[in-house]
Amino acid sequence: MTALLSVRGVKFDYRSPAGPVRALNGISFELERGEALGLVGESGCGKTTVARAILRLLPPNASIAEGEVLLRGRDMLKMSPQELRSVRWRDVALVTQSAMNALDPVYRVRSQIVEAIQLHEDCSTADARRRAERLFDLVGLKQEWIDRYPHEFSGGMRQRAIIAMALALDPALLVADEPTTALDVIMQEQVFDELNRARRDKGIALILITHDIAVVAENCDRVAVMYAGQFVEVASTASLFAEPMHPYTIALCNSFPSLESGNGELVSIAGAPPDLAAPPPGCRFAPRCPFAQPRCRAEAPALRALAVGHSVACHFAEQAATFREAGRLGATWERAETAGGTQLR
Amino acid sequence: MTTSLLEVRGLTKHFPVRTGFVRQLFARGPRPVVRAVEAVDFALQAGEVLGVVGESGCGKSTLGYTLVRLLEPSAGEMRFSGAAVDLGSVARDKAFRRQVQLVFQDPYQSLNPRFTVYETVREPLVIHGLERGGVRPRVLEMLEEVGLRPAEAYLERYPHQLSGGQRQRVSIARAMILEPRLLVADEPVSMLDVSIRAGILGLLRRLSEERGLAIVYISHDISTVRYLCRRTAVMYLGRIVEIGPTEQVLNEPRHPYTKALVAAVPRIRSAAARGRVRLTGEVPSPVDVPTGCVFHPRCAQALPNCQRDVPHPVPMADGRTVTCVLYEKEGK
Amino acid sequence: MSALHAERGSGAVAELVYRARAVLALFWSDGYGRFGLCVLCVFAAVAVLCPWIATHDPWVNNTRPDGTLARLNGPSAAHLLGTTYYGQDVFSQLVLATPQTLLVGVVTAILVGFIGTNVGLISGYFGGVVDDVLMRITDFFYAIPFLPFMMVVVSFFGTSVAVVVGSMSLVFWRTAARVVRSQVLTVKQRPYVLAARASGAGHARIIYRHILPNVLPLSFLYLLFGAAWGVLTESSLSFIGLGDPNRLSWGLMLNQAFATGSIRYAWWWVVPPGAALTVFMVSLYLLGRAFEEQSSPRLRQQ
Repeated sequence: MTALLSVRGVKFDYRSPAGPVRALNGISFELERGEALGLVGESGCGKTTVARAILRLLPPNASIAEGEVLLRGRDMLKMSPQELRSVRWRDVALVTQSAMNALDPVYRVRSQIVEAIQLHEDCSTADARRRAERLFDLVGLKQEWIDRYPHEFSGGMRQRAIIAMALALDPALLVADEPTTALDVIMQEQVFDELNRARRDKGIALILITHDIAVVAENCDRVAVMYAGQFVEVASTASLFAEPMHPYTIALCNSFPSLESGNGELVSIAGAPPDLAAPPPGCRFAPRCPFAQPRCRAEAPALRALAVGHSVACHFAEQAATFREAGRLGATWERAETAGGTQLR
Repeated sequence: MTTSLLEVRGLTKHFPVRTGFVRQLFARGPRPVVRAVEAVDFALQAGEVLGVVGESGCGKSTLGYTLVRLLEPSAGEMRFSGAAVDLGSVARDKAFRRQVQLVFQDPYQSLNPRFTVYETVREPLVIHGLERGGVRPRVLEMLEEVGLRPAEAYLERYPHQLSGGQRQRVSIARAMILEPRLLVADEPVSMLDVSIRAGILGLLRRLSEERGLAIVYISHDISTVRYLCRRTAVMYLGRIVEIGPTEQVLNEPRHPYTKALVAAVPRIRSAAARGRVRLTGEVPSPVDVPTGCVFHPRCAQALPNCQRDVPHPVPMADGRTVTCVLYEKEGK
Repeated sequence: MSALHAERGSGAVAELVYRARAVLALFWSDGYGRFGLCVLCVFAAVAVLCPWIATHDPWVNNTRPDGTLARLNGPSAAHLLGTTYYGQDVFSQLVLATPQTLLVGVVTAILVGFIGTNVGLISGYFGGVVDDVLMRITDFFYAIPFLPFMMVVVSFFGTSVAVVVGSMSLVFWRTAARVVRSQVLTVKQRPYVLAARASGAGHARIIYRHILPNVLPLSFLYLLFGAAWGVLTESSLSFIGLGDPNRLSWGLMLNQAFATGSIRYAWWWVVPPGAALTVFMVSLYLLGRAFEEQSSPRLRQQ
């Protein structure tokens, strides 16, 4: 069976005063029906750009240089604006971090959901209203709240309302870009509980974009770690967190303070991500990688499968076990400072 | 028995709600008030790091600002080094501010965009008239200590040329240059990338250990609190509901709210083990605070009397204090 | 920008020089700004060199070779822009009015900028009663209808240029004050200002050392506007006869052209002062626009 979403070799450029910036450098992945994929990375790695590329929500100075985005077999990058309009919201919906501001404050929530539904489907207002009520049920909000104004909702409730709106047309895929970053843990838990329940009921696939690896660990089937516009490691959640292979993934896991790790050492990676207007030749993480060899600086590693369903972009991924050992110590990551030099973002 | 560095009793901060002119004319009853911080009690020893956790709106930032007297408390008392805090005269005001400093959450707004790093870090010394004897070496020394090396390279830089982590280090340098004894850190790492948070947290830890600096570390991220703080206070709707040694409070939470908070934190490995404590409803507005125990509308373990009786802080055997009627018999 | 940074010296004078160069670089970078800057430089040059550029004494009633008054002569070799009704050389009048005009512009700009900024700073920073009082005063000045006000002022104090400039500035600072105040309201909430308070800074230091530099771009913009308004208003006043008749100005030239009924056919008398005014105003506007464009995104980021 063909995958629901197939992204192949997408390269995405921004025009900037300093010249073209390649924000995405060959992104490829597949997503099955009902599957949840987490995209993890820090600011500037390009994860939000992936969401934009899939939905073709490009700012005026951006363009997709290469690649295909096949949703149910149709290439989104080649669609006309009319075709895109029919696909957006209906087949793929987007929930963003600033979704809390996506609700128009002068209209009741009900009107906004009904409007969204009626824009895409031939549906009477009464029917649309009933669907809105059911959607609120789906996300754990009381039905009568659809008649309220957005400012009456708390942050977590608004986020759930936005998710309800996104699910209004039963999309096959939901792209959530930092949906709970601005929320507290208790609200975050509620949002994900409802989201996962809705997904299970309707078999909706999810691309979850976030910097919080714990959230990804709990809610996603597979994880892709991004750095400087590229995937550095892709694996099932269990596999990635049990045995991370890429040095960056290892550092990320060790820099996350968690309730489990006790008072142990927290790692901090020296340096900063490369300037995408002039990326280093070879591996983009090499300047900050304590395990870098001359080969790393000369030749960019490709994403290759090391185990079933576990791919890494590192020349020395076979030595991952050694890296993991050394990676637990903070001192390992400080050494890289003198090696690569620091670059200001 | 040594005196605590900081002692806070019944600290309260209310903000009047500004309603329209006409509404005020016709309003009956007392003016509505935002109860941001209500009757907070705690003591802090020299060199101790105390964490304050809670969700947004629980009043922890207001508490931080009140501790450094950017806000004047509405009620309660504060004693610093045994003496009551009195900012009556300019001299006393400045003396206090040399001892107590603050680091802000947003690295992108904490530095004056028109000042170079040198001017920013030097400013507190100039304000206190301490620039005799040359400030430059002191500024350089401070920059080195917060990890900005080589310090000379940073002196003439402007904030927009620095990354978030570097800006936060400059903020810390500015706060530390007066050699305060207490630092209030209001979510210092929540706006930074995860991979650089550890650097800042490590810096705070080191400053506390090497200089005997006491820190009040405010955060909504419980995991960082665990890393840095020996004691933790949990706040809800302006009140401290539980305070005690971090290990105790986070591993074996007692107060129902603490239990819910700890249970809600996502885990990388032991997701299944975290247990779920479902809280009903949403956080009430601090203007319209529930009667009795403010947590009772959402508490799964609420008793009928919780709606009426305000619980008192109860010290427990393991050194913590819980404000919940369920433990009144256990404690003392 | 970074090259300028590198050459920066220390000390107040070097600081001023640095900022001046930064502003000039800013104007130069925008096409329109460049044009505005060049035009203003031309005006400034004319103002400085006018004694040497002017061909005649502007007040002399020139005569033709045959002895008759050279009244309303068109442009010729002798009189580059012709003569007025009174036989005075238009070109010389135009040129010699320039320094006066620029002076009016500069002084108005400085007064408007200074008063407006300070009122805005103090009002915005202290809030409460101080803010209310200052803003009500500002409202008062908004309510004043300008022309009747000027007529009253002139009838009491005469038509000297100092009176005109003074009363104009008194009225024009109101907009600068309002705008600066709203910027101050935003800036004073920023953590870096709170940090200054937490470090023990007094009010004066916070206002003038911490807040003012962030408000200065806005002040500067209103400085430019102030210059433009000042020149336009002074010329308008001269045109309707409320200006000093013994002082050369472009407005006065237009006034005389109108009063003598020559305005409809003596184009050499009417167009030059009108064009000079227009070009001057436009160049100030372009500078303001370039400045605003450049500093707004940075202001927003900050």
